[in-house]
Amino acid sequence: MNDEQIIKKLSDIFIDTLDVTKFELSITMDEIPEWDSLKHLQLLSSIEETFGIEIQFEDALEMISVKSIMSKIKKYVAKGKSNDL
Amino acid sequence: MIYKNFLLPHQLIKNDINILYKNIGELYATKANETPDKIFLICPGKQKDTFSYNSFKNKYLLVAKYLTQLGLTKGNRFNLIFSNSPEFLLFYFAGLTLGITVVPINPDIAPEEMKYVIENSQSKAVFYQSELHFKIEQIMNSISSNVIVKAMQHIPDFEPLKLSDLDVKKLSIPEIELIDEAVIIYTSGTSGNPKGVVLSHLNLLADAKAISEWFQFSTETRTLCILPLFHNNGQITTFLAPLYAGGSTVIVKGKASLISFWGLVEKYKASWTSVMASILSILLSLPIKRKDKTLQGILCGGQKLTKTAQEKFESRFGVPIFEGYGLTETTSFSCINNYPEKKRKIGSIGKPLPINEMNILDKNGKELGPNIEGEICIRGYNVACEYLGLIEKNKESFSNGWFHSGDYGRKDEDGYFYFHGRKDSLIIKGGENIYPAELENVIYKHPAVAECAVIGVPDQLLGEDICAFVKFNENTRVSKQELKDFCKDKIAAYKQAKSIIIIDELKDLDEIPKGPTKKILYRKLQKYYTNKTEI
Repeated sequence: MNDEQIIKKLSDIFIDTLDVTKFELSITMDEIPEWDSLKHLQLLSSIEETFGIEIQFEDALEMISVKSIMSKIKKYVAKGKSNDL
Repeated sequence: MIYKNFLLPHQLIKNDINILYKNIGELYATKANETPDKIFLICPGKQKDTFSYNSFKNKYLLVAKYLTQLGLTKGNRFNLIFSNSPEFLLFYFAGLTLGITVVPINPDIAPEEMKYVIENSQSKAVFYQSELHFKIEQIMNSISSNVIVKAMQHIPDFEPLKLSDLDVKKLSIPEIELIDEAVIIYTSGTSGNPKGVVLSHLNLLADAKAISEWFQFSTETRTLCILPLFHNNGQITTFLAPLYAGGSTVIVKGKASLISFWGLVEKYKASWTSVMASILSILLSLPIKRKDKTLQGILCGGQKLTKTAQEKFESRFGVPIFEGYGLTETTSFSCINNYPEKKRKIGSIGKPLPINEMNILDKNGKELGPNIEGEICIRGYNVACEYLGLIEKNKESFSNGWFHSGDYGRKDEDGYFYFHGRKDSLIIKGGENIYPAELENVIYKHPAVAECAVIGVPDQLLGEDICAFVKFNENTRVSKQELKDFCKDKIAAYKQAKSIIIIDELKDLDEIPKGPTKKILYRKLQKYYTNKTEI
């Protein structure tokens, strides 16, 4: 899965879960009023389901911006790929 | 010993309670002297910060110096707009050490709501985390130029910590008495504007001591703080109570991710935590297993906990839940189930803490007998001094030697209390209190709206969510989405309506039901909603 595909999937999850109209790579949890603790949980659950990954608790603590979420997803996806080989 | 002559009538009780410290600063300093190298605070995350009692004290004294350099002195107030973070706590302890009142603001509320609290609290300064600048810049020009407004970076770029340790040596700590103002917490108000609940050092120390002793906290106790620090449950049960015993706290920075809950408990060997009932429901909904052997119990309050949820949680995770009850006006818990777990009475909110007395009174202030429903009233060392500047509300709520909670319930023959519900239309969504007027005032600003009423409706996870009934002016109509968008920047996201019902589209309801004095009949509207959704 390349960056573009991850961004597309992530964008759908954000718009659907947070009920926001736009998705940008620069957004952080503090800037989006709709991104509260409960929505955050729903967001991470959707990410796990969509990407077929299981987020470790230490990683979850850092996933508080689109950038950090992207980087963690890439890590899990790459790890998943190497496990599949 | 507490000098009762200085206490307010609603703070007097028969019990004599010995509080060893005069203020929060003295409590911290004492513990730091006893065990300087012991861990006080752990903040996991990308940049894991761990502070010993001594290192945290040295840092908050630098913040104290920073505050004095800005001209803040005893008797002043400052606002703190931070998510959970070490920076919040450094400001908190620095302020309390100098006798400066800390007035936290929920970072999730809208800029206009923040402005109200800043002005109402007459704060001399506002400190906010830099990520929130997009909110503050919207109100910056309308805040008085006398107020110092400062954006703060996180550690290691946290400005006050750049001062030299030598500066701290010149710091002069004023005398602070038990009854001095310590913290003002804003809570939802019936009119739509929040009320500032004024809490003294005595209030904080009394509740912290009571929780600490009730659950036999010790130097080995480690709490996990996942509730927001701008509310008092997080401050008292997971910070000041373990501090009172010389214990430690793990704090989740920012907005807690519950996916990390069990991992954090296991990794940091947490022994206690405090939650809202909705958090238990969320944890139950996640497929994550408990692996730790350290968690001794969970304090739960702020929302009604159902017996089913409690039983399910305890049987799946094997951790006892101690249900209790309290309000901002009682600093934190005023009653809670007995420890150890065998002494609990499931379904009750427990027995009063020794620092306060509780009673069930009728509308004439007469004590009611066992199992008769009435208003839950509280008095004691943890009961707030007053609502800031609200003379009439103070007379109404703090009268005849009691704080009248506005909640109704009963007590049984054994002295256990039971919470039944609110006297008014307060909505409790995931532990956050929201009065209908807060959202109604915003919806009414839309030119198409003729009438509206906001109610709490059942929600499986949050306990309650928000539904708005709206009636339009003649020949005017807008979509539900347009109304939602209209409210978006004017009120906090968690206070917005999940669903909107347009009365003009209903066949069986012409208008919002009202009583003879034109007061909205919220219960009738709730009944209508229940009937409608059950069909």
